[in-house]
Amino acid sequence: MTDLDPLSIAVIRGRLEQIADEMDTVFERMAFSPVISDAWDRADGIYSATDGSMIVQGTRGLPIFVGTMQYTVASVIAETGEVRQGDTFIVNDPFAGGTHIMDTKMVRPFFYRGELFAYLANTGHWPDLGGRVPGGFGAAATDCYQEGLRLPPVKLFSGDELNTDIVAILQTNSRLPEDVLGDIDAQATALRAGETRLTELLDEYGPELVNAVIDALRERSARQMRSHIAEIPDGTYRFVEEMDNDGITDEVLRVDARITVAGDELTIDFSESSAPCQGPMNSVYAATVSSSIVAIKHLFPDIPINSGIFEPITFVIPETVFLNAKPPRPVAGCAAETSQRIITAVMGALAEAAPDRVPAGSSATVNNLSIGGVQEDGTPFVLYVFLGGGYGGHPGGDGLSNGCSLMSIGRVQSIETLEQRYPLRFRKYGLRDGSAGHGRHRGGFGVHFEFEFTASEGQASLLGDQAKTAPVGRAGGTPGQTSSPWFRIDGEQVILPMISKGENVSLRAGDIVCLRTPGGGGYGPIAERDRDAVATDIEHGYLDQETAARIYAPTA
Amino acid sequence: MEIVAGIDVGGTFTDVLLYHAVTGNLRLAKVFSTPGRQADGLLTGLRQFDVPLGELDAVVHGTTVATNAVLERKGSRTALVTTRGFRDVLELRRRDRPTTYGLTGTYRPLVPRSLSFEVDERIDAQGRIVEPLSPESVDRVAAALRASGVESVAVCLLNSYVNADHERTLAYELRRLLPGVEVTASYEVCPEPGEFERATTTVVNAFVRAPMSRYLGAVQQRLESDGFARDVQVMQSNGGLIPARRGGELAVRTLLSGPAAGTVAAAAFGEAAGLPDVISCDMGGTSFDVALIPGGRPAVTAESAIDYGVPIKVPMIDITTIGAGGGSIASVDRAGILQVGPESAGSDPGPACYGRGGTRPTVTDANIVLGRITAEQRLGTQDGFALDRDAAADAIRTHVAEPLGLDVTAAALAIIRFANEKMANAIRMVSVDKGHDPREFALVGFGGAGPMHVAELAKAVGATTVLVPPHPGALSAYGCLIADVKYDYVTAVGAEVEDCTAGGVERILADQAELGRKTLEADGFADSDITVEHVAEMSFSKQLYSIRVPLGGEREGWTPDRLGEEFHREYLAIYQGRHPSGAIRLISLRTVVTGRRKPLSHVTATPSEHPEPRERTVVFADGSHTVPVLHRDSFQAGQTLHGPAIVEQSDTTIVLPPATSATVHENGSLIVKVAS
Repeated sequence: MTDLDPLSIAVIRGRLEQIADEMDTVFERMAFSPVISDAWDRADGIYSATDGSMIVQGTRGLPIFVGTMQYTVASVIAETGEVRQGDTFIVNDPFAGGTHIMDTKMVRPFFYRGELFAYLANTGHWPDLGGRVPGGFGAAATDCYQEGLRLPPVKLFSGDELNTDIVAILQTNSRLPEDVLGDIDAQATALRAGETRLTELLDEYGPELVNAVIDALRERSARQMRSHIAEIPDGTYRFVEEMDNDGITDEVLRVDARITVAGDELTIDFSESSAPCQGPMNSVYAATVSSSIVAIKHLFPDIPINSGIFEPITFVIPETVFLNAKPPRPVAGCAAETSQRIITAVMGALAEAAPDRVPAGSSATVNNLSIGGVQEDGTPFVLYVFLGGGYGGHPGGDGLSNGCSLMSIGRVQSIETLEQRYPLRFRKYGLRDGSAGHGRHRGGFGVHFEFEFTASEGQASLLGDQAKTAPVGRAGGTPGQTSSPWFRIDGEQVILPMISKGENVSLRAGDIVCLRTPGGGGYGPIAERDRDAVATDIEHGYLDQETAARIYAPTA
Repeated sequence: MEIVAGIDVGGTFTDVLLYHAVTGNLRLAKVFSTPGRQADGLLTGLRQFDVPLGELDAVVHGTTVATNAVLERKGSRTALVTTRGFRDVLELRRRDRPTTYGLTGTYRPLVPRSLSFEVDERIDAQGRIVEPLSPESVDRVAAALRASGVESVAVCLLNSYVNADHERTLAYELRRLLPGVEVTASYEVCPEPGEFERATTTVVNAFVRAPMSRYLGAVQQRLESDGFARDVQVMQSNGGLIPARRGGELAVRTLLSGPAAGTVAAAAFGEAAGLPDVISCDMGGTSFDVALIPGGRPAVTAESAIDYGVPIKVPMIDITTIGAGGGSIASVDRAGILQVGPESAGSDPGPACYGRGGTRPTVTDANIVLGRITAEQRLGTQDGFALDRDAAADAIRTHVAEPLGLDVTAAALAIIRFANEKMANAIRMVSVDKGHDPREFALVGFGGAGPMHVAELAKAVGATTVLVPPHPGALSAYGCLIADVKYDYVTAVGAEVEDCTAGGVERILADQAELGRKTLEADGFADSDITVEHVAEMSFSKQLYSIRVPLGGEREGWTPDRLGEEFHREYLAIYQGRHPSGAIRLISLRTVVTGRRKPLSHVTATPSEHPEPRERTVVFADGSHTVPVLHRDSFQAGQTLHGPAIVEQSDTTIVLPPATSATVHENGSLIVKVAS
């Protein structure tokens, strides 16, 4: 430890990151699930042999999984007996360090010269694991048993031998059995690739030095996090995000983030948030913690990801709030919806402390849309798409249009691929005019995504939010527009009773689904917007003459 | 008499290599590039030799005109025409953000929204016409285009990759209604699924074709007025040439033409030395470009992004670029961890040792502190300037040594080692991505800084052989000298393999080959100099990532079973997956048609007299050594030398660390063995 030179730290850190990056690459290339291969809804990392804490995660890994996988590995350690070389566990239980049921993790103990050195783990979003609606986003599920097949940590491979009994259970319970084997193969191959690389690294530098570097990196990340926190003025800051409803009862769910900064430490207290809800918008502890960390990483992107970044942060998330739900609460909306509102709540609270660092509110719903049915040729299909929206304006400029989920980095499938694979014909995919908030720096635009269903019948489910509370404006800017989905069923325009949520909506050929996503809030006073920027926005059709005259006229 | 000129116009320098077939002699001229008027620099370079241009048999050219036009957003005033409902295709991208963390990115599409128009028409994913192309909407859009004063129009209609009828009609009508306006239709440049990537590829072509045509026209004309009577050839990003007159119409294919030429040359020098499996390591001032070349053939990718939100979907040599070059800045972050790059000092102010106002330490500064390059080093063959070692040491002391608690020398070593490790990571990533082990490859080091680092880089990845070609600072120009003419064709299939027939596959491949042959014959190639190779782009039906399955020259007999077998073989080679199963999809069929140019019969190094070797002190990882400083021009074929040593030449410095030995190949390449 004493002779740990600065060069080894830098070099070994780069190598560890690269191993995780390589695992990500293998995984996404081989995966059958388009949500993994195209939307990059996956992450790979290396975790401590003793407590599962994070050593490294791939630089392109899905942010929300930043923290969750260390809880997954910890649950594997806690719930399994002796592990051997070549074992690989599979687990998707949201309450065992997870998010929702579709996020399936594999954990592989890694041995070096016969000794357990670390765990390699990855997560990927599988397209279907049963449950009451195709794709798993049951908007009216009232317990987790309705959301699909739940796997505690079980041994999928023993000594690299695939347990085909487990595969049979998975395939029998999935609406897309063919995908199961493809995704298992991708996920397991990625872990084996990581094993090969990590062995090479240890051969080269020796386990003592690598372990010393891992310890040092954890300490350095903690130090870096502390130095950022120390720059935030001491005090208590609070922001409350209001979610539309839980999908069952039309009552607001409050994500109440109270942040106390004291020196170089901070406490995030969610204890004033709403109680656990009947519908699927509950979050589990691991996801709530991870989302909070993602919010902080969005403000301080330079901190390397390992368990050290959690060290200066204390969480208060009692089981009495919906952000630390326990079985049998349903949690399908946790990973893509509630997690984003935790992010915007934490960013909102920090904006009170450091308004010059935090962008205005962003679209924080992805409108999880799934449609299941049978194609004309008899083959079953499960479509799952989720959409982006506008980011908030920020001190340095206008917000990005059609940014991806705040906790994700994934791309959306192309319209042509969607039309090729599913019975849809798009009518429009474009910026949603008028959705962006105004200000010195305007928000980015949400999208208008509208298609006609072309198969004879299908069942659609929508799990979204932010249809009632818009992304906020900040420092004088105005809010963006709320989410506004509608259906046209049998010629009738239909708005779902819960607006942003609904399940098993029967579609027939000719019916229309239209999702209109939120725009980002504006940042800074409208009066300070540059006149040329207003003129350019008019020229490019981002702003119509009438609105420009009404909003910006006093300055134009 | 046969004389050929290869020219690479880069951001800073224009390199011209002149080859005489009779003597086998290669001569290099390096002049400053003339941004904005690149033809001037090119002519200046060519005139460095006492050879009348009328005696040249070929002028071959790699260029960054198209790339710069995109990066600087300085192309033609371009419009986009799409299907009704989809005019925001560029704005939407694929719903992403520029960085994983941080929510403050911005995006500026190449075509502003005000110049994006829609026509009324619709073709479905199966190619059926759902709504015919409305002539009224075509007239309306044509009028709007005329009023907007655009110079170039990109046409990209939904699902045109399965049925291009509407696009063809629309492009024809717009050309007829708008004389003088260039029209690029997506089916002409990128007939593949994925509306965003196809649209950006089409738009980039439309955006750069006018500047490219103007530039190539000017080059051709000025060479002709000096007596040159042939067609100038242009390097494409697939590593093959096309005649300059086609370079405008296919401008999108010339992006990254210089780096592609470098890989062609790296492959050739590897093969000549009996090293078919090489990795090209091109390290310049701001970046490190790495490409995998298994079996003498640079790996090809179907898609590559040249900027955030600007993917290009045309066949390109698969070159990975990271921010690690001589100008990359070294720093220590908040956590006390050393960083090198991606931030670069560029050429202005440049490294601290340039004495042009740069105060932050760079990789070049570390090299000078360690004695690997000296203060007398000249950059380029024109007027160089002396380097300031003290300024380099000061910068390293302040920004790296003191924060890390190291002395200046140790800090400089750490910078070099870390930069090498970063490059080594890129090499590993590129290799594993294609299912290869970098230890089985030889590294070809070039670019201004490559030869200084490549031996240590080899050690970092576990490779044991390194090759430094004769003119490492001008390797892209050499690639231009030797490259063949190459045309790529692609036809989207998008069907399950079991539904394909050998006859159907054969028809597509035959059509592609025929078109290629005709084009090459028009370019003056004899049938015997033409080769044809086929590739099937395939995946498991459920996958989105596909792999390239080489089919060789055969176009017959591709039954579903044979296609499936070839796919499985290639898939296992790349991924080592355990359970390949499920239906297989044939995404597209591709054909590469190559017109072989006359090979350079021989290249001989002609040793010249040089003063006795000098000595200087150079620091390596194991301490400082007094090493001989040799001049490369003095090397004889077959000569052996041992590290530690420094080899100087006009365009670079080669660093041979301890425990290396090198032999001089008859073509002048230095083959270095690195102890593993």
